[in-house]
Formats: sequence, structure tokens, C-alpha cells
Amino acid sequence: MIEVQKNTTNSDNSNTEEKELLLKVKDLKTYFYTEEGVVKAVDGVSFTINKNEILGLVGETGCGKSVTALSLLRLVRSPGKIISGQIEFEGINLIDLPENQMLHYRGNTITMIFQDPMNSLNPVMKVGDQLAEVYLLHQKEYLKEELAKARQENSILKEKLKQMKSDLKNASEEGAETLKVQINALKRKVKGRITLKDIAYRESSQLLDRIGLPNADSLINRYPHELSGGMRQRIMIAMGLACNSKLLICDEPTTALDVTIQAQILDMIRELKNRLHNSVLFITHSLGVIFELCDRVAVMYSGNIVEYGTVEDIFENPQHPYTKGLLAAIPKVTPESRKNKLAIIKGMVPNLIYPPSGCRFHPRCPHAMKVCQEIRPDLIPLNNAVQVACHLYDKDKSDPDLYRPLTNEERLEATI
Amino acid sequence: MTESISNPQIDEIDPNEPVLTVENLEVEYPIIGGLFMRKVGTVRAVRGVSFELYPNETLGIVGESGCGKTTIAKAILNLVKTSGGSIRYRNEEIQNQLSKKRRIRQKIQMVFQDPDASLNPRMKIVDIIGEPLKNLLGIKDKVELRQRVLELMTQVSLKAEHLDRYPHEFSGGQKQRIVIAKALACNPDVIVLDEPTSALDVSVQAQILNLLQELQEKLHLAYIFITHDLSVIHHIGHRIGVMYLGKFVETGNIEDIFYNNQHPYTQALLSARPAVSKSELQEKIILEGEIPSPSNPPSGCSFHPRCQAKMLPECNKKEPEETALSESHHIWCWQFGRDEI
Ligand SMILES: Nc1ncnc2c1ncn2[C@@H]1O[C@H](COP(=O)(O)OP(=O)(O)OP(=O)(O)O)[C@@H](O)[C@H]1O
Ligand code: SF4
Ligand SMILES: [Mg+2]
Repeated sequence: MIEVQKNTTNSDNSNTEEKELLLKVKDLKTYFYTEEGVVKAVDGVSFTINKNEILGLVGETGCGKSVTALSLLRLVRSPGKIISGQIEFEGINLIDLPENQMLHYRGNTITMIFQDPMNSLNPVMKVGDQLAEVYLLHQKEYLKEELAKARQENSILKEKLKQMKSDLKNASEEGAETLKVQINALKRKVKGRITLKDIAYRESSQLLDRIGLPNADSLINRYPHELSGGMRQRIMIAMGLACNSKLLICDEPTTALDVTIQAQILDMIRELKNRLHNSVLFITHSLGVIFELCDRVAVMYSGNIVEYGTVEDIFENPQHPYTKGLLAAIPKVTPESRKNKLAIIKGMVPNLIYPPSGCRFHPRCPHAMKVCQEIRPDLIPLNNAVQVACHLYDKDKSDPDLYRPLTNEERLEATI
Repeated sequence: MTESISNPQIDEIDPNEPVLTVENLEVEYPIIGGLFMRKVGTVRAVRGVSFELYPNETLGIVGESGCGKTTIAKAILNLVKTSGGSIRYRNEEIQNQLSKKRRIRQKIQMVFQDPDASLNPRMKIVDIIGEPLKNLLGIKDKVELRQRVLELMTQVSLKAEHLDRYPHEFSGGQKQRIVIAKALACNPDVIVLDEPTSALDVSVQAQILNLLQELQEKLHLAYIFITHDLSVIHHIGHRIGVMYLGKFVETGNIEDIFYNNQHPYTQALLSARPAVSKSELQEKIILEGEIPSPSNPPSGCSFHPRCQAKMLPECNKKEPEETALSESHHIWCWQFGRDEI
């Protein structure tokens, strides 16, 4: 299988700067061994994430987006199991790492933000304490540097205060008055002993400020339940960002939020990515969010990636019948769009225990051919920008028996 | 086959006569608190909302969470008590008494966002859809009941083999079809749809939206369609009310609201909607802060703390009054209709 790691060469949509590979996932399979059977939730997924890039993972409920994300961190719980594949992070295959080394990656190098903030924030801990804890855990070196700076500034101030106090003894009456005012002002600034914790709190409050939460100083003293859902979600994301990890995985972080709040958060993720130059894997079922936020996108259907490439190309010119169907099913806001019925994809998403043979989309695909039922299509590059897994793009279609449309009887009966 | 389900009143329906008229609707919820769980205050969830609903029409009510959309629906269906205003079905006052007026109760149905909430998991589909036929229309004969249920199911593209199954055997989209079939059982002429597709994937949402449109054409239904998704209402709606903190801020038809909107909140809401193509992309208006709590709404225009338009002296002092920009297009904003002094 060929990866688009370095789309450095040619084509109008690749910029000249070299893209550096951060993560390479190859042929990942994660199955769940349930009583009803083996759920093939992720069944041979390959993609890459470059440095300083946002990759979107989009697909409908149950297609395996969350399981893919959990697999990257090796957090899939029993009865689930990663059965094969490679997850190479900066050249190191995470699949082979002993658990204690994996621990180092989780939270330090790769951070995950979940859909439901209530489950991820500690309900009995003040927001400020939780954020400070994240800083102390993940950015200790940075905090130490800041602490040294703060202490030095403080000792300079202390020195100055001493000087002023001794000046006071020799000052004239008038001068003494002004000096006293200055001394009092300085006294307020000078701190006793500054601790690492103080710095952690200072950073936390500054971060809340930066993500557009007003009154950060009072917010850090509140408990999660005292905040609205939108605030909690932003704090979750703030915590994710505080980890300052190389890869941030966001699993539907805005799904439960109102659009105006969602717009705020997308804005914030974009802004922070531009500043910190880290990479983001953004999981959502909203194609709109992908279009507005991501650089590249992987479209998932039933445990597979069916189309993968730059957002610009895929949204403007989708190639896979499923991607086309999905885009057509979204109501658009243009004067013409109202006149027509919405295009629909017939049928329903398949069962993952007994998935359809060949291309898993074939029972619903308007273009399904005999070959689609028999051979699973590989994800192959169509051009520099896009890869697609669909037999319509096979190079050699000479076999008339394989490349004929399915008859109605052959098509698996799709309910409704 | 659809004969028996088609609306018997169609011939009597005057398309220019509203089926439902809501005037100055007020709904308050008590705030319970303190040691003895007493009422310590009130939340004004709906503050003076008025609209008319005509046959064959979809009235969209859009706004963000907590703005009072669902409360309007519940007030119409007599699921919460109103504290002021009037709700009339044709010309009959039904405010706070719908549950007693069985004849009219049949005519107004509701579909919620979560189909599971309306489907008893221990009942078969035939019994779920048959329940209103039995209880409200008095159909007792088993064979006739099954036949009628099957007709309703066919209308929503469910099949005979689904009759004896239980809700858990269906996908989210199919469950919503079952709920819609049940709502159709008593030949309603108003269906209140509260976020009926919000829990569904886009491909399934498209199927349900198309179904709702077909049913409306066939049965001349009037819909109140509550949603936070502006693209959905653009597709299916005819007239729209944009709500903020218990009040309409702008009302109008598709043209008015989508292509000639004037209220700063409508504009922000529209711009925040994620686009899926370049032609839809527009400059984002990023609102600051959160929707304030309705228990303690800001003074004057409740949108003023987040409003991006230039502040006028009235904005934080007086609630804006309704101003007609055209016959169809109304707005509540001090930038318009200020008394020139
Ligand atoms: N613990 C589990 N046991 C059995 N099956 C599971 C388990 N967790 C997930 N699955 C199955 O794996 C498949 C993929 O699930 P996943 O949560 O990754 O979907 P998703 O794409 O994230 O969906 P959504 O959009 O609803 O979040 C589903 O069919 C699901 O039922
Ligand atoms: S491989 Fe065949 S069935 Fe699958 S999407 Fe392509 S044409 Fe359709
Ligand atoms: Mg998920």
C-alpha cells in the first residue's frame, strides 16, 4: 500500500514546504470478541499525519472512528484487541512498546480529548487544580524555567525594596511621602516564596484567558458542575492543549455544543495549532467541521478508509460513491438547493460482525459491479492529493464478467 | 390503500385559515431550591411568543440550546402549563386544556429527538402504532387494527415483516419512522417535530427529511419544526422564527431569513454554521461568551452582551419592540424601528 507522506512534488495544491511525517498507521485491525461474534470495528486502516497538520477522520455512527483513535493510544479494552498493524510515531512502532514506555506517550506525546467532558473532568476537584496538575505533569521543565525567571524577577524586586527602605531613612519629608507610596506599591508585587505550583496556576489562568473564557481568575476556583457544558468542553480542550503534545486527538469535541460555541472552539484550535505547530487528529461525523478545520481528511465506512486526501480536493470533487452520497445528503444553503429533494444513500450501515463481502459499501452502492462483491478494493492513489478504495478506479477493467453491474438479485437486499 | 389514511378533512381545509394560532405565549418554570425545596424564583422560559401556523406549511423555530424552543412545543401539547397568552386550534382556545379535549388532542401530534423516549421497549411495533388507533379512534378488531397499522407503516417505508418486532431491533432512523407512523395514526393536521433528525447521521437524516416532505404534500400537514440546524430548516421550512432567550428576534420566510437577514444574532448564527463548499463559506462572526441563563436575563435586549453591532443607548435599557421590515419579515432590534426623536 502506498502512503501519501510527502506530497512535496508538483501539483497545484501542495505547497512547497516539506511535509514531515509524524505518525504512520498501517493496516491497523482492531476487533471485538463478543458473544454474538467478532466485531471487525477497524479492519485494515492506513493513514499518516504530518507535523503541523490537522487530519480529519469522518464517518457515520459506528464506522470505527473512536476505536481507531483508542487504538493509536493502545487504550482499547477487552473484549477489544488490536490484532495487527503498525502505529509508527516518529519512527517508533507503538504496537511493540512495553506498557511502561507506552505510558510515557499517553498524555505526554499524544493527548486525547473525549466527547463527553463530564466524564473526563474530575468532579470533586477545582478547575484550576486540575489544569495546574496537567501543567505540573506534562510541562514541568517549562514551569521550572518560568519559576527561575519569576524568582529572579522577584529577587530583583526585593533588592529594590531594600534599597528604597534604606533611602527612606535619608529622605526629605516630601520625598519620604512619595517613597512610601512607591514602597507600598512594590510590597504588593513582591512575593514571599514562589513555588512551582504558583507558576502552574498562573499558566492555567493565562490559558483560560487565551481560549476566551472571561474571568479566568474566578473560574479556576470553581468545580466542573458549576460551569456550563460549553465552558467545560473548552476547559477540556484547554487541558488537552496544556499538555502541549505533538499529537492531539479530539474525538467529537464539539458535537454536543451549539454552533456559535462550536465556532469559538474551532477558532481556538486553529489559532493554537498555528502557534504551537503541533498536529491534530480531529474525529467528527460533521463534514462541515472537517471542511472548515482540516487540511486533509480520511472518510471511513464500516471499519475501512474509503477515501483519503486533501480537504479541498475531496469536497470539491469527491471520487468514492460513499463520499459523493454523504456530501449530496447534506442540505446546502443556496437558493437552488431548496428546489430539489435531498439525495439519499439507500439502506443502512452494515453489521460489523457479518460485513458484506468485497467492498463493504456494495449493497448500497449505485455503481456496484460483480467485482465489488468478490474483491475488497485497496486504497490506491488516484493522484498526488487523493487516494480511493473503489473498483471504479481499477486500472485494468478488461474482464467483462467481473466489471459488469450487479443484477438486482445479486445485490444483497438492503432494508429500506 | 392509502385511502383510509388520507386526511378526511382535506376538503374542508381552508389554506388561508390558520390551524394553530399562538399569541403572546408565556411559560415560566419555578426555580426550586433552599433547604425545604421551595420555589425560590422563576425562569421565564418563553416570553411573549406569537405565530400562526397554516396548513401545508412548515414553520421552523431555530435557536440554540436553552432558548425555549422545546418549551413552546410542550406548551402547545399541554405538557407544561403556560402562564399567559393564548393557543388556539382553528378557533378554539386549547391553552392548558388540550389533554381534556380528546378530539383536538388527536389532531396535534409530537415527534421528539430521541425516538427511544417514545417507544416502549417491551411492546411490539404493531402494538405501539396500534395504541392510538385503539385508544383514540376506538378500533378494537384485531385484523382491522393490523391492517391499519400496516398501512401506516407503508407510508413511512417500513415493511410487513417489521410488524411483530421490538424497538431494539431497529436502527435510529427506522425508530424515528415508527414514531412518525404512530403520530400519523389519528389523522393529525399539526405535527410538532422537536429536533427529529438531530440524533441521526446525515444520510439517514436525508431519508427522514424527504419522508416528512412527502407526507406533508400528501396529507396537507402543518409542521412546527424545531431545530438548531439552519441547513435543515432552509431545506424543509417555509417560514422561520429565530429565537434567543425565550423570544423571537427575527421572523420571516426563507428569503428574509437566509438571504436578507438583519438581526445581528441571526447573522452570527448563520455564519457559525459550518459550510461544506466554497460557495457557502462566509466570514465567521465569532460571538463572545455564552448564552446567558434565562433565570437572569440581561437587561434591555437580552442579546446585547454578545451583540457585535454598535451599541445604541436603548440596547441595555429597554426590550426592543417588534418592527415590520416587510409584510413577512419582522425584527426585534433597536437598530431598526427606533423612534426618531
Ligand atoms: N466494547 C465494545 N464491544 C463490542 N463492540 C464494540 C465495543 N466498542 C465499540 N464496538 C463496536 O465497534 C464499532 C466501531 O465503534 P466506534 O465507537 O469506533 O464508532 P464511531 O465511528 O466512533 O461511532 P460514533 O460516531 O457513534 O462515535 C461499532 O460497531 C461498535 O459497536
Ligand atoms: S468498489 Fe464497487 S461497490 Fe464499492 S464503492 Fe466502488 S463501485 Fe461501489
Ligand atoms: Mg465515536
